[in-house]
Amino acid sequence: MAGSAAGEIGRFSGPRSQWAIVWRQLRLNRAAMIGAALVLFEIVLALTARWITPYDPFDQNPLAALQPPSREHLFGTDDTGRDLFSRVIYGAQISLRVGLISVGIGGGIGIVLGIIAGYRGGVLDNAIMRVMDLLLAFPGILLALAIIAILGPGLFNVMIAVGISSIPYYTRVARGSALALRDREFVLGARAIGCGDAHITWRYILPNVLPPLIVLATLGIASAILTAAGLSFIGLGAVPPAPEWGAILTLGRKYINQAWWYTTFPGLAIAITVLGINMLGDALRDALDPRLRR
Amino acid sequence: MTHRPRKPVDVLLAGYRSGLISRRRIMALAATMPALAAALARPGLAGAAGAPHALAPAFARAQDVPQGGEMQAANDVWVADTLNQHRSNFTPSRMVARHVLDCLTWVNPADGSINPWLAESWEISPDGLEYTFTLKEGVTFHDGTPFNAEAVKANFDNTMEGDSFAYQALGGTAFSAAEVVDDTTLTVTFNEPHATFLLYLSDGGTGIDSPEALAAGGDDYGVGSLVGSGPYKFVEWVKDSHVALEKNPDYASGPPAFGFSGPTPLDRLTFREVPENSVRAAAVVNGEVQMARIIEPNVPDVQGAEGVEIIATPKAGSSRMYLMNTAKAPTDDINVRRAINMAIDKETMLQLPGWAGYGRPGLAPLPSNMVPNGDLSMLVEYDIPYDLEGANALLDENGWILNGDLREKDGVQLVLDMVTTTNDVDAGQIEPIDGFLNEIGARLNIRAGDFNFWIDTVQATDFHMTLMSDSGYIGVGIIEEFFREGEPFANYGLANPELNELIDAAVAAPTLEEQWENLIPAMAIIMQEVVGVMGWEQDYLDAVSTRVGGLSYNEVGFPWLYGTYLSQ
Repeated sequence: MAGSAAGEIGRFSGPRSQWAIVWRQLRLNRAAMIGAALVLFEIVLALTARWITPYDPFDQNPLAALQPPSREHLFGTDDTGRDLFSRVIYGAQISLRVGLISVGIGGGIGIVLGIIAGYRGGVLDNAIMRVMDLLLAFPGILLALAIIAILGPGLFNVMIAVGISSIPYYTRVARGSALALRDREFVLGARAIGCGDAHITWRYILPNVLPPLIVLATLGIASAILTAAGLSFIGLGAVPPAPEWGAILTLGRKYINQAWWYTTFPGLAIAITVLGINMLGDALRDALDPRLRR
Repeated sequence: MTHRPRKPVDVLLAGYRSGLISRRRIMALAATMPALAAALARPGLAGAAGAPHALAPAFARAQDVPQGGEMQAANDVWVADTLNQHRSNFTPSRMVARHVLDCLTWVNPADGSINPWLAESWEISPDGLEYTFTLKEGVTFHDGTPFNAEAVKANFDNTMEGDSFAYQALGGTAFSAAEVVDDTTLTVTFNEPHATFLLYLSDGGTGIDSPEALAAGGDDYGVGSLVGSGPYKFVEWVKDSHVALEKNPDYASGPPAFGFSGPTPLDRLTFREVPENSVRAAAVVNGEVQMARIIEPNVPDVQGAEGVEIIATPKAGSSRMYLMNTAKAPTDDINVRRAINMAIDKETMLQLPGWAGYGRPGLAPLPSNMVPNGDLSMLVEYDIPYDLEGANALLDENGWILNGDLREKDGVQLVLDMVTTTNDVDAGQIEPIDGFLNEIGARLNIRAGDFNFWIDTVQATDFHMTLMSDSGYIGVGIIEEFFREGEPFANYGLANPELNELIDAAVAAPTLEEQWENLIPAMAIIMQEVVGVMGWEQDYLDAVSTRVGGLSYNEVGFPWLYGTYLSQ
């Protein structure tokens, strides 16, 4: 009890940064730790793929086509005899890249637009938000399909499409936060001492709008991975021989009655990755929102 | 990459399918090899080398076979545009229509002969510009309209008003006029010879519709109605779902040479569309449909299933070719194109799941089942056999230096843009080529998209390789389409005046014999120019319930379910 009391005293004994509080919240959340472990695990796999995969993911071996899982091929082989374990591991690199770049595009553009709209207001706000309303009128996947129809199929274009289709979500959240912050005392104070708009938004607005956007971005990574896999599945994303999980799924689906492993392992990889990121994202949201803190 | 061992029976069957072993020889061998005899007895094999399927046995006794019942045949798409063949450009649509529409001639797929059907006889003028048909009497369309010369003229006139397969089949701009001489005599004149005219008249695309229904239907004709004089009557077409037909109990005008001319045994025939390949294969195994056109990767799903067998029918059309852009570096170098050919082990390729052991290694632009007597032996000398060491040596000699996994020359890597459709990638027939090319230090950059992406990119010649083929049983049209300089699909740099002359001569030839006299040397030039890898001779694969009897195929390699029945 004494230890516990000391802990309680320590907890309130000195100022702690918001991030320290968030980290503590996350540590107490078992789902967050599982999610973080899964994400970390995938990152490690992606970064070490070159050393831990037993085969080149592009090496075909016609004589070993559609082999079931074995010691030689832990996840079996595909229809050209490539090692599925190696391809799934390398696929982690692609999926993480897709998730991060898509979110980078969507978040980067969306946050800037949102802060401009919220901070400046007026006609600019109106113009930006009407464009966002227009984008939001289309389901995300439909918008991504339309963008790919213009840009053409391919993994990089998928990243652009997924990124663009997510812009309105970041814009709305960033604008709402910026709108609430622009008349706060610390912003007025900064303006009073002569700080310019660029300095104020960079130094005072941006850091304060970030927490909800981090949650959105985290969940957005999972969503982007899923969307990209879906687009690859219908032939608009990664093209073979890229070991993208959705592309592997679409190649494997015609063998689903003969070679269960062909679709099962990339499918599991997608599910586990999205699950891990979502668990971490949910926990981040709980930790960053004071109303949800335990 | 090594060859899988093949059983002697398989080798003999492959030789028979490719036309290298004659029917007489294979039968003689079967007499001493029970395993071969058993294999030959399987449906589908009897029709090898240009004879898609055994025809006669079922029909000689068609009246004795089980009557009634409904048969369902599945494909990914049967009707993409319309069943009105005066406007359609879609092959399966013609195949469905031919069950409702009778044609003027009937091509026997077993021997390629042209036989009377609604046209009892015909005469051709010596210059090949005038055809005079004597038509069958006593035939009526399903709506009671009598069949006569006026009906045929009305059909031909309607065809010439629109752009369609039928328009090309009637000769396109070469067609001059159809004139009615009397009720049973019709004259067709051409501006220039159209030697394949009679062959085309056997196609569902040139089947004869009721002129009354055609006029009354307007734009709805082929959508809400289709009236012919064939063994089945049209019931309905529900787009993306099915075409329903019912028995014509009064039918008596089957092609005499078919061996059966009365009403077909089945009460109903439904052409069902099941787009997903695995589901389509499963539908036969589950008994939901009695026949399904399947793709090679789904063969194991069907093989061994009780009560289902696979029938392989040589596809009428071109070989499946990986054409190369001869105007774009590095495939503008004939040595590169030759090395690519030498790197691809077609025998091994055909054993991969994307082929499932079906088809035959390609030799020429037209497969063996498309040439007279299935004989391509005169072109064997131009074939480029698999020779991995030779391919690497050839590239070495020509300055393509291996740098890591890839060869380079003058700073350019041996990376080839393979422009294709997602369907071909999905079928597993693109990636293995990349695997073969890796062995010679080359790599494919696969650019896949939908049909429009593919066609636009190929038309813009923005490719090094593309998987190309066409269906149809008129060889000259296929050769002209892909290899005659100036044709839309022959825009990849091939410019050989001698080849152009031969193709032009084949197109203008008044007889089929003269046509082939020009086409064979034309194919020799195409092979010497190494314009691509003549990948494989494709088989259409149908999973068929063993309940289905009396099954026959038309000259295009599609099922013609006249006389077909279902046993219990």
